[in-house]
Formats: sequence, structure tokens, C-alpha cells
Amino acid sequence: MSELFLILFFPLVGFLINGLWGSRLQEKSCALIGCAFPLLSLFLLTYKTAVSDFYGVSILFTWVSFENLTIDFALKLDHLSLLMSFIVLGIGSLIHIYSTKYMHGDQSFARYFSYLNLFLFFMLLLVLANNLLVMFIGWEGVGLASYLLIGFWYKENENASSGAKAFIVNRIGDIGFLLGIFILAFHFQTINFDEINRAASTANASATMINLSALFLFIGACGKSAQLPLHVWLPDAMTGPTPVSALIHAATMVTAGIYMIVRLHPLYMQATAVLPLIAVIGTLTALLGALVATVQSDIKRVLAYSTVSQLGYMFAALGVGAFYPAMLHLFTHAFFKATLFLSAGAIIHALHGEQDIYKMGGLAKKMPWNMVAFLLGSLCLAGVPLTSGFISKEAILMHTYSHSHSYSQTLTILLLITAALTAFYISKTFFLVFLPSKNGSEKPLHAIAFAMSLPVIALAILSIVVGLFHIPAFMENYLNLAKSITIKEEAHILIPALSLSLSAFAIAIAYLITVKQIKIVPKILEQKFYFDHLYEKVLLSTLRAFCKRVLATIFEVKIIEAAIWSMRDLVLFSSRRVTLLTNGQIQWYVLLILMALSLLMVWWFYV
Amino acid sequence: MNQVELLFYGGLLIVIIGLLGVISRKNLLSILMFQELSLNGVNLVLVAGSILHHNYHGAILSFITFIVTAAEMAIAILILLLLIKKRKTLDVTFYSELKG
Amino acid sequence: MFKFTLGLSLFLPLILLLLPSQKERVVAWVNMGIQLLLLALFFTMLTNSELCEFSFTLSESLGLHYHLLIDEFNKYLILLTALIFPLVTYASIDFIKTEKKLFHLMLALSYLLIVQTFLAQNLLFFYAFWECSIVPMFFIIGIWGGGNRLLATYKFVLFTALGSILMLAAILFLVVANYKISGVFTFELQPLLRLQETLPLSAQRWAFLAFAFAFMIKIPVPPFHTWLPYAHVEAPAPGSMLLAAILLKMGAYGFIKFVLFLFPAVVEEWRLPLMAIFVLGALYGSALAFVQNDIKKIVAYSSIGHMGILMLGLVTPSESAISGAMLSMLGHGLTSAALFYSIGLLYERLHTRDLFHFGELATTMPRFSLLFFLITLSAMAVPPTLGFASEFFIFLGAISYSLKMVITSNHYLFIAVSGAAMLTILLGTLYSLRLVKYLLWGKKSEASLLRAGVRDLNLGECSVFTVLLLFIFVLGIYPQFIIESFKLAIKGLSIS
Repeated sequence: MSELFLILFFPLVGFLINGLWGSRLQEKSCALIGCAFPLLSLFLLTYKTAVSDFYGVSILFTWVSFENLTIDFALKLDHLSLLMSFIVLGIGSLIHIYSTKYMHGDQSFARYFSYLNLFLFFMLLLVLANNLLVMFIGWEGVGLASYLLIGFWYKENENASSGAKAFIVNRIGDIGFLLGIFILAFHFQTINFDEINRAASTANASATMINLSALFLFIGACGKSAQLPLHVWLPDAMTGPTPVSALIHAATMVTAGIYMIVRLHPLYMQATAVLPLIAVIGTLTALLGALVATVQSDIKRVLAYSTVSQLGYMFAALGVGAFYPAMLHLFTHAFFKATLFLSAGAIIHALHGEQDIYKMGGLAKKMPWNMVAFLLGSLCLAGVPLTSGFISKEAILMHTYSHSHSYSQTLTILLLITAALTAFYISKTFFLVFLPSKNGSEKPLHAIAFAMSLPVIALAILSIVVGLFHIPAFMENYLNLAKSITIKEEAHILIPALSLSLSAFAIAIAYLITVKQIKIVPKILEQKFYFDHLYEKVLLSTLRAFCKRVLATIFEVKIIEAAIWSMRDLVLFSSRRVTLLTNGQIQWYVLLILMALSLLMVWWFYV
Repeated sequence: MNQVELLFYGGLLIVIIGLLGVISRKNLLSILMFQELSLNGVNLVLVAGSILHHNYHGAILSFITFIVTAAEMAIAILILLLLIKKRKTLDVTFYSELKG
Repeated sequence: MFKFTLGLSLFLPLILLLLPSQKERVVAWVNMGIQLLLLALFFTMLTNSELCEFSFTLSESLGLHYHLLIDEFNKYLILLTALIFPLVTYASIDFIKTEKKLFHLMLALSYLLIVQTFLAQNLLFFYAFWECSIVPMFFIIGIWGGGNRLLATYKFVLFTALGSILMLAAILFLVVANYKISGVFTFELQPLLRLQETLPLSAQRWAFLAFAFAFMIKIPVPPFHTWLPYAHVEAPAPGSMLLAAILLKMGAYGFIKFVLFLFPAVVEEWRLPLMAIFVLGALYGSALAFVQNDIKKIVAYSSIGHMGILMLGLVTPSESAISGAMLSMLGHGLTSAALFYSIGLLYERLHTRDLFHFGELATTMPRFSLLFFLITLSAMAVPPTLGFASEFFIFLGAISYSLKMVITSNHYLFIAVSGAAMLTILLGTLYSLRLVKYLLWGKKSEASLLRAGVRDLNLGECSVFTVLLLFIFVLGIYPQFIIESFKLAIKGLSIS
């Protein structure tokens, strides 16, 4: 079992080597070290699981042990965490290889790879955790790595602010996560996943406690997985390098919230008051993300809002109790979104840093392979039949339709609209970028290295393959998550028909808009429903102004210090008055003596 | 009120007058003269006391007081002369080094 | 060995006094050498887990025993002191430019007095050393401080003395009450602990208030905290390190050792107001840290925030909260020493404490940036640092206790207070990231462009950070070994 710790710690070693000595090494060596360790972990994991029965829990040491709570530093490998580890290490390694050429020539090449390895370490820790605390260490750690990577090119103030925004919004969620941990620790005397899941299903678990802890853990998941209203950090996170966006903000970190809920799905199945909330927020996020994505002009922002939207889909699935479809969509989304991001990165790289889709055009002839990759990714995202994206999206829609609550029909309708919008914006982007247009620049393109194109193509192929070869059915049995919904008969026909017709309609409109070059941008969409405004003005500016004007100036200076200064003033005032008694006049002193003497005598005689 | 009581209260009165004078006069010499008056009053009280208690203690003490007062006055006048030479004034309000 | 160590700490100032003042480097290295020796001695004593007690009776009838004891509460604080002092001495080699021998003498005196304060078991001696330990600080701030140092040092001394006078009154009251009740006149702590049963509650409340007032000034708890920003800003960097890392902990230690043990009934009765005061203070300190433009003030106010949460942990009757609070004393000591050391380094190179005069230090001082960022992680309570572990335990205890209160007696205010306490996590992130953003990231500000290239850390300076970071991360990853030793101490506090 100790090999599990090796698999976990290899990326950490890579982080240390590149971090401490990377600046003295050549670019090639840094790249080698940076890619070698994740690949090593991947191979070790594959080998071990293929050869032996590698599953189980391994405890390293006891982190803390109180009277009624013991927390160990323990890792657990089961089917769910194995799947996630493969996603993390597999896509992670491909992105590492991609980055060797994308970041070529950058001043801080070594630092980039060290941060990337650090991220992998924390993500693996999160995924392989056996209890909520180890997961939380990974949770915060990936937030930290994300902060460092978003603000990687730190000379621009904007990048540092975006990184800070991500970390701060994440932290707001983390407060919720911690509260959830504490409530569970109090009620169940344990924060171990298996023990919580077992205890939650028993009869004497308090419904209030389960609902409360589920709610707070969900708030944490909202922060990490960019759900309303804590989604504001994800689009701004695009200031980081594109491979980072692909890895962290599409495939792995943002899926942590969903992973956590799936891990605790027995608990969530009991939290009947919270599940509707999850479903509603997921759906609203999906809808909002798709709406805002339609008006974005930066290709990375389109993909960012698309990620927000797709994550919303996953949460909607979780909210109706469809845990397996959520995991399936997580799996397929990781592949096709990474494909999209990496091919967008190739486009940006080729066009020397241009990110505005309205300034691109006609790339179909210049980058054919890239176009194929982007096309495959877009087809998956739009949910075209025979792609993996189609299977996972339909699974979610069928489950929401079949869910027995009154609101589920509304949710299904909203999700269908979102699917149409998704098809619209991604096809619009595809048409704008690849079809010939007069906006395209005539500059010669920067060549794309093989190291960059290989991962893109690999991911594109994988995103299709998963759909074609009945992998979903195999995964369903493999993961063996609890099922609570039986799909209605008509859903099998109705849902695909509706979604396909809506998507086809949307793609047609997108084509028309691109060709006719119509550009309508409603104000509310442009302002992203004023959520960023909320973050900037309400959270930051108001808080800062309150702290500055009320607390620092009024309270601190005028009230508290005034109290102290007034004590000093009182003492000085009274002492000045008292010194008037010592005026140096001898007669005055004599008089005082006489008065005192007479008072004494009166007191002596009469008292 | 018989003679002894008159002597006693008269002496007390003179003491008080003298003290009041010490407090309220501006000229140092006047202060000294009033202090002298006060001491004389003390002598009268002592004699009255001697008569009242039918022994000689008060009388003897009053003799001693006389001598001490005389010596003290001699020195006091001398100090006054030195003060006039230094400060050119006998106004007691100017002698306020003890101030503060 | 205990007597030898105590004797050595007593002779250290005397030895330094005898050394010639011209040979400044000799004075510095002798000071540091003996302090490292003391660290080794304390460490061996405490790992051997022998009983370290020393008692000398000055007057039996007056109950004056010079009684020193290393118990579970001051054990780690003594180690913290012994660890921080050599680092402070090392820092003062570079940062103090004038009257070096006198400064080292002040440090040695400070060492002696602080150790005695932690070890004292007799109320009068505790009080005496408590008062005396202010004196070296008075000189350190007053002689080697910044522009406004006289105001700062007077404010510091007078404010602390005000609280201490009230504490003296309470001590005398307790001793006399004990004499009236039991006929024994003693200043020893153990006998006085029996007063909690015999003394009427109203009298206990007044004594509690007096003690608590003294400690709340020292810790500091708003609204009695105003001396801290002044003292920190004007003090020289080694002085700030000392003040933040150790002197503040004396207040918290006094609170545990005396207030929690002497007046448990009063604490039980007033638990909610106390928790509220500490939480509001923590929020206030963290909120103010967010809007300061002087980097020393940011760290000073953040200390107030952290100590507020520490105190919250102390008054919550939960094993994990109190363990977390005691762990937090160590964590905050290490973190704030490192933070003030870094501010001192920056001031020495750039001669400014204005937040906006820095910028892009990640490029010009990469080693410093890395180490500083790691320290900030602990201040922000990011796992796996000690800052995270201690705050996790404190909040775990507070929330568990509050939930218990909600279930058993329908008191919802406890959970409101504990929930509000968790907002300090957000505020901590805000001010720490702001500090990091203006120091490490961004473009070099125009003001700093005028200066020549600053030099990065040398080996010695790196090692100061490394030592502190080592403890922060190791204890954050494996806190159990310290938590184990707190268990026995906490039993004595009789938590339900």
C-alpha cells in the first residue's frame, strides 16, 4: 500500500526539484523533470492496478486524536478515486507535454512546471483522500496552486488580482466546507468518508444535522466548482496560461466539488432538503453560464463560461440524485473541454497572442488538424449524437425529466434551453474562428510543435472514443453508485428528440449570424448579470470603505483612542489645577497650615 | 469673667490678631512685627495658665519665650537687611521660589 | 539541570555586562551562543520528562516562596522563548546599529524576566516578573525605536501597568480572603485554587474582572489594544519580533494559568459575553489590517486578529478548542516572528514601510519572496501549516460546543458567535493577499525604481526563515505529538 504514497509524492518531488533548482537548469531538463514525475505516477498506478488488487485504505499516521474524534492522514483507493486519479494523471500528463512547447521561451519556465506539479500533488491528495480533512488539505492546496498559476505572469497587476479573486472566492466556499466538516465531526464523531456514509444511512442520524452539513459542504463545492454566486472567479482565471486553464479550470480542480458530493452520496441522499437547492442552483448556473457565453468575444472566456455552464449540468444531476450521470459527464467533459482549451491555446499561440474570435477567421485551411480537434470537441459539447458528450448530457436530461418532484420538469426545460444555447455559442465560435472571413489576419502563423498537437489530437480522439465503445455502461457497473431514479419510458425518445432538434436549430442560427455578421450584445449579458459588479463593488469596495472609514478612522481614532487620550487629558487637567495650590507664596502656605490645624483641633475635640 | 479668664482670652485674641496679620501683610517687616505680637500674646496665655494651675511652669516658660523671641528677632532683622540688599524689596509676593 | 539552566539565564546579563563594549561582535556571539546553549538545555530537560521544579522559601509566614515549575502549560512556551531569542539576537546583529552591547544586555534581561514569568507559581513573584518584563521593552522601544518612539513606549508601559495594578489589587484581595477563610497567608497558586469553592461568586466576579482586564490589555483584546500598533511600528525589528512572538503569549498564558483555574465558575457564567468580545476583537483586528498602508501595521493588526481567535479557543470548554489555542500560541509566535523579521529585512534594504513603495519583489528578491509567501500561508491558515491546524482545532471545538448548546439548551447565540468567528478566515485571506500582491507581485513602484538593486537574502537570513518554517510545516503536518502532551493539562481544567 505504500506505493500509493509514492504515487502521491512523486509530483511533490518534481515540484521541489524544479522549484528550488529549476532556475539554474536548462529548459529541456526542467521540462523533463516536470513531465517525468506525473508520468511515473501514472505508470505506477496503472501497473499496480493491473497487476494486483491495489484497492484499499492506507494510513500514514494519526494527524490528531481527541477524546471523541480521531483524524488520520489516510489515503483510499477505490473505483471512484481510481477513475479520478486516471483523469488527473492522464490529462495532467498530456497537458504537461503540451506545456513544454507552449511555455517555450518563457522566463520562468521552471517555476511553471513546479507549480503544475504542485497542483497535481494536491489534486491527487484531494482525490485519494480517505477523510474530509485530507480532502480539505488537497482542496485548499489546489486553490493555492490555482492562485499561483493564474497570477503566473505576475508583472501585470491584473493577473495578480485575478489570482487573488479566485483564492478569495474559493475561501468563502471553504468557510462553508469547514462548517460542514465541523457539523459532521460533532454529529457523527468522525470525518471518515466510509463511516459518515454508513452512519448517515442509519435511522438515528439527525435529519437537521445531515441537511446542515450537506448544505455547508455544498457551499464549499460552489466555491470550488464555480456555481452561482461563487462563479465569478472562473472567467477571470483565464489570465493564466492556457494549459493551466485546460487542466485546472476544466478538467480537474473545478470538478472537485462534484467529486466530493459523489463521494458522500449516501449522506446527500438523506439530505432531502438540500438536494432541491443543489438542483436549482446547478440549473441556474448552467443557464447563466450559457447565456453569458453567447456574447463573449474572447475565445478563452467563451470556454470559461461554457465550463461554468457544464458544471452546472453536473450539479443539476447531483441535485436530482443522478450521481452516476454526473460522474459520467465529469469524465466526458474533462476530455472534450481539455481538447477545446488546448486547441484554443494552439490557435492563440499560432496567432501570436490574439484571443478575440472576431479577429480570427479562415483558420480551417491554415490549421486543419487543429480544426478537426476543435470540431470534435465542439460536437461533444453541443451533444451531437455518437459523441461521448451526447451520452452524458442525455443521461442527465433523462434523469432530471424522470425525477419525481414537481420542479423537475421546469428544470428539464431550462436545461434543454441551455443545451440549445450551448450548441449556439460553440458553433458560433467554431464558425467565426475557422470559416473564411474578412477579419482574419494575413500574418504567417507561428508553427505548432508536435508536442503541442499530439495531446490535442489524443484528447479529441478520446472524447469521441468514450462514446463509441460502450464505456459508459462499463463505468456504471464499475462505479456502483446508488440509484434512486428509474427513467421513464417516454424519456428515452422524447429527450433526445427535443435536444437534437433544439441544437440543430441553434447551430443553424449560429451559422446565419456568422455569415451575416450580426452582433447583438444585450447590456445585461455583457455585464454578466452584474455578478462581477457584485464582487467588486459590494464585497471588495464596500468592505474596504467600511473598514477604512468606519473602523479605522472613526472607531479606532475617535472612539477608542479618544478614550485613552481623554484619560491623559483628565490627569493633566487635574494636576494643573492642583499645582495652583503651590504658588510659592509663604503666607498662603501658612494659611493652609492654620486651616488644617484648626480642622484637626475641631475634629479632635468634637469627634 | 474674672481677671484670669480675661488674661487668658485676651492673650488668645492677641495671638489670633498676630496670626491674621502674618497672613495678610505684604511687607516682610510687618509680618515679623505681627509674629512678634503673636508671641507676646502667647506669653500672656502662659502667665494665665500659670495662675490657673497654681504653679510656676507657665511663668518659667514665658521667660524662655522672651529670650528666644529676642534672639530670633535679632537674626530675623539681619536676614531682612540681607534680603533688601539682594532683592531691593520687602514685598513678600516676590519671594516665590517655592512655586510649582 | 533545571537549577543550572536557571542560573545560566541569570548570569547571562551579568556576563554580557562584563564584556567590553567595543567588541560588539563578541558580545553578540556570546549572547547568541549562550542562548543556543539554553535552548539545548531546555530541550533536553523537556524531552526527558523529568519533573523540573525549584522552590525556595523566602518567608513562610508571608507565604512567599520563590517557586518555579515547568508544567504542561508553560513547557512549550519556554521552548518557544528559547527558540525565538537566538533568532532575535541574530536579527539584532544586523538591524541594531548603535549601542549594541546595551541592546544585547536588554535582550538578556528580557530573556531572564520572561522565563521567570512563565515559570512562576507564586502569585506575587508572577506579578513582579510580569511588571519587570516590561522594563527591557521600554528601553528597547525608547532607545532604538522610530521617530515617534517616546509616545509609543510610554503608551505601552503605562497601559500595561494600569492593568497590572488592578491585577495586584485582585491578588492581594485573594490572598487576604484566603487568610480570612482558611487562616493561612500564602501567595502560592495551589492553595489559592481552593478559593473557587469558598469565595462568594460576587467577590469572584470582581477579582476575575481585574485579572481579565490586565491580561486583555496584554493579549491584546480590542478595545484595549491601542498600544500595540504604536509599539510595533516604532519598535526596532528585533523588538517587534520579541513583542509579538512572546510578550503577547504571556497574556494568554496568564489567562489560562490564573483566570481559567482560579475562576471557572465566573468563566462558565460569562462564557457567551467573553466569546463575543474575543470574536468581535478578532474581526475588528482583521478588518483593520485590511485597510492599513504601513506593512508593520498590517502585521500588528493581524496579530490582534489571531490572538482574538486564540482566546475564543481558550474560553470554549472543548478539548480540541483549548488544544488548538495552545497550539496557536506556538504557531502565532513562530509566524509573527518570521513576519516581523521579514519587515525588518525589507526596511533595512529599502528604508520604507509604505505598502505602495515595494513591488515585484518576486523578481528582485526571489528567495525572500518564496520564504515570505510560505509564512503568509501560515498566517492565512492554509493547510498543511501550523496556522491551519490550530485554527481548525479551535473552530472545531467552538462549533461543536455551540451545536451542543443549541441542542441541549436552545441557545442560538453561541453558534452565531462561532459562525462570525469563521469570517476571520475570509478577512485573513483578504489582508494577506493584499500584502503579498503589493510586495511580491506587480511592477516595481516608481519610488523603488529610484533605488539601486536590492540584495537578496544571504545564508544566515535564509536559515532564520528556514528554522521557523520547518517548525510551522512539521507541526502543521503532525500536530498530534504536541496535542498528546496537552491532554493531561486540559483534564485539569475539568471540561464537561
